[in-house]
Amino acid sequence: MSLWVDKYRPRSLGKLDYHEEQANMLKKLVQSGDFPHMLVYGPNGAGKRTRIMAVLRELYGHGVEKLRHEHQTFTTPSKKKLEISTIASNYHIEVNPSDAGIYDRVVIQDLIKTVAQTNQLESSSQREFKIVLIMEADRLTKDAQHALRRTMEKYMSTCRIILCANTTSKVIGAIRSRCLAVRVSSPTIEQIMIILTFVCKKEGLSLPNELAKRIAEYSQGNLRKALLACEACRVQQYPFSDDQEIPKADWEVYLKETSSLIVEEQSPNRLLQIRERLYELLVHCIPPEMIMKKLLQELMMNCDGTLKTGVIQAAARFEHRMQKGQKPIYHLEAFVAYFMAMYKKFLEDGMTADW
Amino acid sequence: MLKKDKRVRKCGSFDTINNLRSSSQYERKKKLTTGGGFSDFSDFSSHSQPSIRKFRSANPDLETHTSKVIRRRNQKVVAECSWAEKNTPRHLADLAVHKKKVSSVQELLDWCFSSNLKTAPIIILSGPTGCGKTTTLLLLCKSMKIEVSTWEVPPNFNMEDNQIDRELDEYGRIEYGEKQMEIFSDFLFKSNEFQTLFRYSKESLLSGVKKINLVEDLLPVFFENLNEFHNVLREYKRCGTTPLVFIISDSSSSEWNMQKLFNPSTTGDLSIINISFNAIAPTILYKSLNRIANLEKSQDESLQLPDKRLIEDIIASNPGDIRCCINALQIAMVSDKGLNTKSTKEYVHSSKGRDSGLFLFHALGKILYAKREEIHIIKEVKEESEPPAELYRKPLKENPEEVFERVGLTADCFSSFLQQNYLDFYGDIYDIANTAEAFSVVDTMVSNWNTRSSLEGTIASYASRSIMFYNTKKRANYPTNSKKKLQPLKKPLFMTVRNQMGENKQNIERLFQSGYWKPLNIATELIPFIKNCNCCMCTMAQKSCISRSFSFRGNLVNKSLDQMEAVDMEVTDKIAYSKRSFEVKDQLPKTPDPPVNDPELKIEEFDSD
Repeated sequence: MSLWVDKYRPRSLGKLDYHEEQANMLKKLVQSGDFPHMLVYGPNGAGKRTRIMAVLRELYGHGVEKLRHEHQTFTTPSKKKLEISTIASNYHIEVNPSDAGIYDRVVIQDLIKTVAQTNQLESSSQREFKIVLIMEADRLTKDAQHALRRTMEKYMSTCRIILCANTTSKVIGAIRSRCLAVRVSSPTIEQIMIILTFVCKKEGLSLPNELAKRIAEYSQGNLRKALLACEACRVQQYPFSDDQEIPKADWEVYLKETSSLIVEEQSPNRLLQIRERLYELLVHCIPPEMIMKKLLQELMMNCDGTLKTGVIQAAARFEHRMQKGQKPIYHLEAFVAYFMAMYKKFLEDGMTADW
Repeated sequence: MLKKDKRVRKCGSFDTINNLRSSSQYERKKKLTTGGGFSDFSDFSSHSQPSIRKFRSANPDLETHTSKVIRRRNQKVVAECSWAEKNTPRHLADLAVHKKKVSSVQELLDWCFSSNLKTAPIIILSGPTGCGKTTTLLLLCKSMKIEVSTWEVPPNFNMEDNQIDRELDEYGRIEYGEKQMEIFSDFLFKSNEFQTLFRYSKESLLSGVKKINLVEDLLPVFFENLNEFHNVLREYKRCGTTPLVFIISDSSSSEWNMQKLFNPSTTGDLSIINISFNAIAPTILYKSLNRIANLEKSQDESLQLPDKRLIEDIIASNPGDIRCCINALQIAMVSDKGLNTKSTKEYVHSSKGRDSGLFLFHALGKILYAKREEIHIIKEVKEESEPPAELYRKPLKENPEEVFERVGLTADCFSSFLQQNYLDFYGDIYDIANTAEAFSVVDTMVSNWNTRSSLEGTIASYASRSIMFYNTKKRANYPTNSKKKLQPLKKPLFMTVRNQMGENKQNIERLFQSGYWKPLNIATELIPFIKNCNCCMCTMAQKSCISRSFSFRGNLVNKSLDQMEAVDMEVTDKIAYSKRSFEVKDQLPKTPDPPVNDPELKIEEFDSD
């Protein structure tokens, strides 16, 4: 089985569907011989990962596609053992240090050290450096980021680092200035539509333009989501029809229900119910930021224009605190409670005004 | 080395016998020792006070003997012997325990011996320290002519001895735990076989002796090898004949907690009967203290009778603990001789507010119910800085800072308990919004690790005070269980949710691993997609994982409180136990518990009889 997303993923820089100029630039960069540290950032599903892999392939050839999963053990200063899974080829190693929680500094340092200390086997025919690919770099702790800064300079001769992040705002300046920042922006709706039609054609299906557009709009610039939705449409109904329903992710539906529950009634009991639902979402590994964002979107659709600024402000405030805190439920609940209070006040004021 | 080992082993086996107070061999040995070198024994008695107390009450013949010897040896000791020991009730009538409680214990003992029980009953007497659990039992046994054989930790049964004694198993691990457990089970089973030489009467000799085994000293081993311990009990339940009684003090903070030793499942499994004692009511305490004071006065003329206020002070400073009260009375009266009364009063006051822990359940209740004084304080002068009327609250009955201090948890943990439960107490969504906002701040404060330790008190105070302050319209009818006045409290779900989250994350990483997918994307995009496609293209393992942990409706059922409870017990969550204790108590029949959260009510109930 292979998903369309994986099946039609461009493997080389030349085959990328959009941001061709950037691709050319990257190609030149690789051909120039030396290679800087890189910070690739952009929204979800824009193709950061695809570009990174393409660059790696450009650097090392097919060898990078022979991946192996490894489990590495690290020991923290407090003698705690951490097991981190990495994906590696002969030329690069990929790690997601946010798995290590607050011990990510140890992981980063140890990993880069071990990678940097082993030289390439045939440095004549290959590059003389290896690549350490750090995913979710924006979720690294400050501690780890500072450690990374030093390590980056120290092992420059044998090792390059590619950071992949959603946003640069949580990457410290010292690292940003040491990297070549590459922003991968989301594809436009037209670009997504083109890709969808292309993929469907390859699959031997004909995708109506209208549906393609609706899928693209639904995906909000997330190409991966668009392709998955398209494939789900295919599974549910073929031949396609224009007004076909796009299967939505269940957690999105769940959040939509939640938001209508919020609007329906504002009472302590209802809030308890909402809390349960929020917990449910968290258990399903839906990141709290996404819950907050989606919830806000849904609530915005349901509330009066005069309330909107206040709601957004509150969402921003609680989202900020959520980043600083550890228990997302506190903030999600506070946001819901705040909205409920605001909405109820609005309704009550409206009632008295009518009278 | 080998020789030394042997010696110690011998010692150990002697102790084993020592424990079997009733075994005839032991009694003979004891006589020998009392005749010859008694010093050993008196050392022992001074070493562990409680044990001699038990001893005396259990074997009245011996009691007089030993005390005589002590008196002969050391006059001074007798003069200053603790009144609490001296005035242990000799008759049921003197007992300061509630009569109903005494009769319920009596009934239970009757039941143990009357019916033809197939298995040995296991009984737990629990309650706060100094509420007369042991005394009640021993007095009852005396009056019912039941023999008591007490499990006692031998005096030289400490770790050092044990270290020499313990052996390495085949893997080189130390298995001292088994050793102690063996001794314990030895005690249990052998006490079935042996009988004491001290008989109360000839009849009992003919009619067969009624006997119970009493376990008061709990070894750490019981807690370390819970399974082993339960197996011993199970085995005993099966083949033992004598009723087994555990006496366990309630304690809020210590890990040696009844709930840890006997969790509900084992209680049900072994059909353990629990009678929980309440703290002794102030009126009864007052009577007893007066009686003791008069008694002592009649023996020693130099003592001064305490005035009423002093006794009341003593009772207030040691609520419900009769042993503590008598000790305080003794110190107050003895030190009164020759000294002026002022210092005594100071002593009594300084001992006030005994540093007692608070059960989490109580603590949460105090915060969540946020009881306020009913009296409205009328201010004569209106100050400039006075807050507006809507911010005015009546004075609180409980000081939240004090509550937090007594509960002995981290601010993080305490606030998460509060956060989990506060919604049930609020009646108004505006209030909730304010409180929720406060909790959001609390979380950011807690998460800042470098200031967390110094802000501990502030955080807890902020969390609890916001709950108390913002709750303007309390919920009139609590949602569940209207017949019970108490609102059931829940454990914070968040830890469980976090654990499950981690587990789910690991699962999807394992099952859906591929170079391009991050776990986050798998959860938010791939899995919904697969579900939308009716799982048509994934492996069985993936399918089962999705249906197990990624279906929204199914999981909600799993989240009922009971489920969580079970999960939480696995996690080393110390606090969870203390809260459980109340749930357990609530379920038990026979023990009319006063509403736990209401100190006034508690007193009323005692007074009514």
